[in-house]
Amino acid sequence: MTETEINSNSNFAGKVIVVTSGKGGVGKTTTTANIGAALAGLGKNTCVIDMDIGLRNLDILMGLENRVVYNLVEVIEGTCKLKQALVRDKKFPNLSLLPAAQTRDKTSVNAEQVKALIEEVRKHFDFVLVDCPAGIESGFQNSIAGADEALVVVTPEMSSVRDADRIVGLLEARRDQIGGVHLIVNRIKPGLIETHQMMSIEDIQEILALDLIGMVPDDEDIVVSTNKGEPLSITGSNKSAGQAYRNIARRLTGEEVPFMDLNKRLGFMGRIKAMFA
Amino acid sequence: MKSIFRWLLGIKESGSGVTAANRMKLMVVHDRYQMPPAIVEQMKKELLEVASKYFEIDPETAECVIKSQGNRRAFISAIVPLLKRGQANTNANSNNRKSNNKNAKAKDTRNLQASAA
Ligand SMILES: Nc1ncnc2c1ncn2[C@@H]1O[C@H](COP(=O)(O)OP(=O)(O)OP(=O)(O)O)[C@@H](O)[C@H]1O
Ligand SMILES: [Mg+2]
Repeated sequence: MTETEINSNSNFAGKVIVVTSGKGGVGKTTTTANIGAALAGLGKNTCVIDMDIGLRNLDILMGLENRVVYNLVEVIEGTCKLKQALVRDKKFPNLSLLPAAQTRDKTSVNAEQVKALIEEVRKHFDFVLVDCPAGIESGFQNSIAGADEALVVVTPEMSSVRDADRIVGLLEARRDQIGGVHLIVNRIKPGLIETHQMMSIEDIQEILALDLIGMVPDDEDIVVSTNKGEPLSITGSNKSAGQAYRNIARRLTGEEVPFMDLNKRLGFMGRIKAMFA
Repeated sequence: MKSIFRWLLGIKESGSGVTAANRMKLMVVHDRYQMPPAIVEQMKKELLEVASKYFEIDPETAECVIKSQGNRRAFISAIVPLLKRGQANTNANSNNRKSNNKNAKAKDTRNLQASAA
């Protein structure tokens, strides 16, 4: 199969959500892959777009690297049709990836072109997730060009929160376009929060003044799932980061889902500590 | 009893995470208003100069910070403890001064109102 069948119903107007952070390496791509897979698992027609042009990664996390033929830059340049560039997921036929170009750089496309492309993509899906590169330069501007909402990913570290604050300021300046900006705190270590050696979720939320949509624990299984090319939100237990991502996906569909009790993941010592805290 | 366990287990009431959060709260406001801490320090000096024209103040315990307030807004928070009349220029011994400062802190709000009036 060289070409992916995309939804022939062209009257969709899917929601476009950009996954961004400012600081690099905090989990944007992991978040995009996991929420994308979880949304597909909920039966939503979902497309994940890798906007990290030149540093393509999303295909690896989804285990689709061998199926990539064309990329986003080639669609924009007219080398191929959108249909030809979309890679359909192995497990979920309702999940597609639009890969980034690996050998080009971020300046090979501009915000207007990306916006036009996303307008085309959204016609075929319920949800379009855009994996934004780190930084606040052209790659960021391109990624937010067609977005209706944003997920801001932070880790409970000062540099991550500071950079996220910068991003939130930039998103806020586009409030007429980007309606909802939601916070995901990733790589939470409950033991450290318990002993007050990590900023609390409440503090981070207060500082950034955003609506909290997800708390994702730091989970070694993320590494394993990346190695296998199978997002943890498909396979992970109900205490895993995968469960946290599944919950976020359900919240994105409008469902009210209580937050996971991360403390339950504490080890024996952690639980004893928690008893006396 | 509980506190012994807490000590044995190394649980602290306020760890580095609390310090981080407090530093962050100031930092983001300075970032948002593109106002370096050194400039706020300068503003504090000038504010104290003005206040000292009208009141006997205690410059050592005075505070002036920019704080965030939900919804990404911010305000200037200045707390300038007033000294009792005639105390500013007397060389009160340091112990006395300290206890006075405590009193002044306890009445912070009133001091603020007094200086705003
Ligand atoms: N919840 C988690 N638990 C454990 N490891 C995680 C978690 N989230 C992300 N990681 C790890 O952190 C690293 C960076 O993740 P990822 O590539 O998703 O970040 P990114 O924000 O997309 O980075 P970049 O800015 O370079 O695009 C990866 O090694 C990933 O496996
Ligand atoms: Mg990435």
